[in-house]
Amino acid sequence: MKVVIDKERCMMSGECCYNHPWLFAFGDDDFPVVQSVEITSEQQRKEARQSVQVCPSGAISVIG
Amino acid sequence: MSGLTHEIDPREFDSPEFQSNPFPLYQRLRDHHPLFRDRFHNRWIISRYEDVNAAFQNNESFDRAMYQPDGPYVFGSSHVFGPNILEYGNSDRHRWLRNVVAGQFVGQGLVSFIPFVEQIAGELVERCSGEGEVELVQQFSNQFPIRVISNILGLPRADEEKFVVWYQALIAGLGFGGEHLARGIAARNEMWQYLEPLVADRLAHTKDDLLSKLCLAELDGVRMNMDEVKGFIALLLAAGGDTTDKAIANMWYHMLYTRPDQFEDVKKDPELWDNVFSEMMRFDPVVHVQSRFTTREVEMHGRVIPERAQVILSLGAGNRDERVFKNPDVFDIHREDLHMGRENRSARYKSDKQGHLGFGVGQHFCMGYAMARQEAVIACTRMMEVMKNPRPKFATHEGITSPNIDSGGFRSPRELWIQFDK
Ligand code: HEM
Ligand code: SF4
Repeated sequence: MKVVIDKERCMMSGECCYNHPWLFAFGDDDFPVVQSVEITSEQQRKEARQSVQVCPSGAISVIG
Repeated sequence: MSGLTHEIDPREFDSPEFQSNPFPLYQRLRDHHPLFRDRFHNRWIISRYEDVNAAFQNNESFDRAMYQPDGPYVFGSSHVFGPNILEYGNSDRHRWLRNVVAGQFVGQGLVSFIPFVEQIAGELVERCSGEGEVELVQQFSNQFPIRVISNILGLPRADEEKFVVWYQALIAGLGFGGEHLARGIAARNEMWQYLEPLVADRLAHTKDDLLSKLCLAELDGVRMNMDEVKGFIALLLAAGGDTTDKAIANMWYHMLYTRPDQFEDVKKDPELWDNVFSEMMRFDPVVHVQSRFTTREVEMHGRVIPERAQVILSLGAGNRDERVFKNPDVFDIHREDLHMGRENRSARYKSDKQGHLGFGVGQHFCMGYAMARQEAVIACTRMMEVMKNPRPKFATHEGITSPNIDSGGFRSPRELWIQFDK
């Protein structure tokens, strides 16, 4: 499973970083960056899918 | 000028002058004591925009709740609300509890409540528009958000009046101590008794309301216990009610007394109520301070705050920082350096504008930020539709005050009389 962010759509709300800090962090340009972690456990997959829901701008998508 | 001129006597924070006009003292803090050690109240105060913003976002150094030396949080079970998420600090449990409900107040959740908000605003405006004048605080704003929230929770509409009474006693119990505290706790107990069968009912028959979601949400197979559910409800009533009602009164105050010239713009274009909301949240927001505890030594402005110290983040002072906002002491709904629309939890914006700090920032950023804006803007717009040519009943006004600093220093006018054409 892979998580990607569309910077064009992202409105910098920060919701992803605060709700799922293991998966997202603010980068130097203040946009969120997906952390390099293997998404393996069921809990991680669930949280990755939840992150799509918390994003107010529809910028996050999950592949696989 | 001698250094002494700028010395601050901590007792100034308890003075009536500070409570009616804190801004001159904020300026002295920002300019001369950006990290102020208040020995009298045993706390530190941060007041510059950048510092307050950074502290809100620094979870490693600042925690919402107090840690015991050996780990677990100290719980304030004496709290008028009973146990609630404010006491879970920055923990994972806080994040989980917050997420159980946070989604209800944004996006689709929020959209589904708008008709309620419209309906309740309409009913209340109708009720207080008969006389050609209204005392906004008691007759309208005090009544409005509490009715909205009890609807969202799914409480019976027939019992709304009861909730308004309990709510007012709860809020009074927060700020004034003594007899009021006793009344507040009595009201909470009554409310809890009332809620118990409703909670049991939702556990047995799920409905499509917030109460059901609170009862049934699970983390690793564990639900909130009965006291936590009830504590959450009390918190929502207070955090979402007392703040939003004061916000509505503040918006009207500034239009009627601070900027009657810009009020003319709003009368022509009611969509500008959104800007009034944003600028009110910068200029003199309902909540001026939030408290944190250091989890380790923190270095700032050449000094060191020790571990486990209380730090006051003065967002009211940060919002007036001339390092960030031009002419910060002017209320201006057309201001170009303030982000005017919906707030971001990150305080970061794609435009080069800055956000106000009135909802906090970061992990504990207000959960009801979008809801509060909707409620306030809908209420003000509705009032203007029905109450034609609104104007102040009295030429002068005592202004916005914070009656009691221990109540978090919530700021709003005590009363606000408005006249209009019937
Ligand atoms: C204009 C109205 C409002 C103002 C000025 C306001 C202000 C704030 C502030 C400054 C905080 C940050 C607390 C901190 O940093 O520790 C906060 C948190 C909170 N607010 Fe609001 N609020 C408003 C409306 C609402 C509404 C309508 C709701 C509920 C529907 C709500 C629910 C909450 C909750 C539950 C928290 C705690 C969040 C957490 O700790 O994660 N607020 N609010
Ligand atoms: S939640 Fe969405 S909009 Fe907000 S910062 Fe993350 S990707 Fe951007």
